[in-house]
Amino acid sequence: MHDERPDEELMALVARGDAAALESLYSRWERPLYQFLARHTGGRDVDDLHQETWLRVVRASTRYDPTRRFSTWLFQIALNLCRDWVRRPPPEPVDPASVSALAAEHPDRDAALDVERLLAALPEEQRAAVVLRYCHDLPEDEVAVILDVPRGTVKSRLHAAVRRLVSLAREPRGRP
Amino acid sequence: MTCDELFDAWLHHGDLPAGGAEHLATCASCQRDAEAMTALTSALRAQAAPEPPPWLSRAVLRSAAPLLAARAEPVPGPAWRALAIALLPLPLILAVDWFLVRGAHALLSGLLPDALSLYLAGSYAVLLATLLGLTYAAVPLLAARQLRPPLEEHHA
Repeated sequence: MHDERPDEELMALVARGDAAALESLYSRWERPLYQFLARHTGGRDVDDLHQETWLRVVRASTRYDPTRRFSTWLFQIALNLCRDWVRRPPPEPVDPASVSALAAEHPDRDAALDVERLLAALPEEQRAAVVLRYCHDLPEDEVAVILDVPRGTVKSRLHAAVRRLVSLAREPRGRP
Repeated sequence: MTCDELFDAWLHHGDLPAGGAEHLATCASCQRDAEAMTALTSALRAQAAPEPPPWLSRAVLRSAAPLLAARAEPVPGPAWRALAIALLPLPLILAVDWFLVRGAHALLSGLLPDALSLYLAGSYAVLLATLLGLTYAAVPLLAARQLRPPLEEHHA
């Protein structure tokens, strides 16, 4: 059943241990959070990061400030986890042949792979700004709050990131 | 208008500023940038991100259950039940106290003036009543404390 109560009210209930409130919040934000993590990490360890984000939400629920937007707070927690995650050892290198084969098998997947490749070329802080701004359509103000930087910094990160992405997108595919 | 100003206006406001169209019409580099940027932003918006696997919600909610249980307010029942049990011997305690106060008054009235012995026995009675009240007030608190689950992690 769809829960009409606002996120902030549900969070107050979660802070008091209400499992049904957490379930409502979870069903509302499961997909956006999962997709943010998948885009930001390139798909590595997304399930673990997703689960850990929600556990942190519950652990920190008594400290949640209901005057702030829940989504902003949720993405902040996820982003902090991603930053810790970045410090872990890198995954086994992917065989380029397998990626090409996958793209050949699924032409519709080709574009997605291309965006993933472009995003992976960005530094972490620029990638976070681009994913939040363009993939999740958040306004620059909210991106600034999530990233905990001034709005001007978001603008400059977006500027640098899009400049780089545009130049990469203009390069012929397959070039190193 | 410079190429950078046009790029910034497009990036942050999504439309061409005054004089932008003229610049764009004459600048081949900006035309290529504009084309690439339009393709890029629409690709980013349309990027198919993976869906969460169906088992994940069950796993997350199951992992969160002990944390939520720790957050839940203690059920008042057991604390009040402890108080009710503690109140059972109260008549006996009051009877013993009554005999103690009466005995103290009888003893003191043989040694001291009546008013002074009455005052001391009264003070003794008040002290006993205060201690008894504090003891019974502590019963539900101690019971709730014993029933509380272990503390959860505090760092977020």
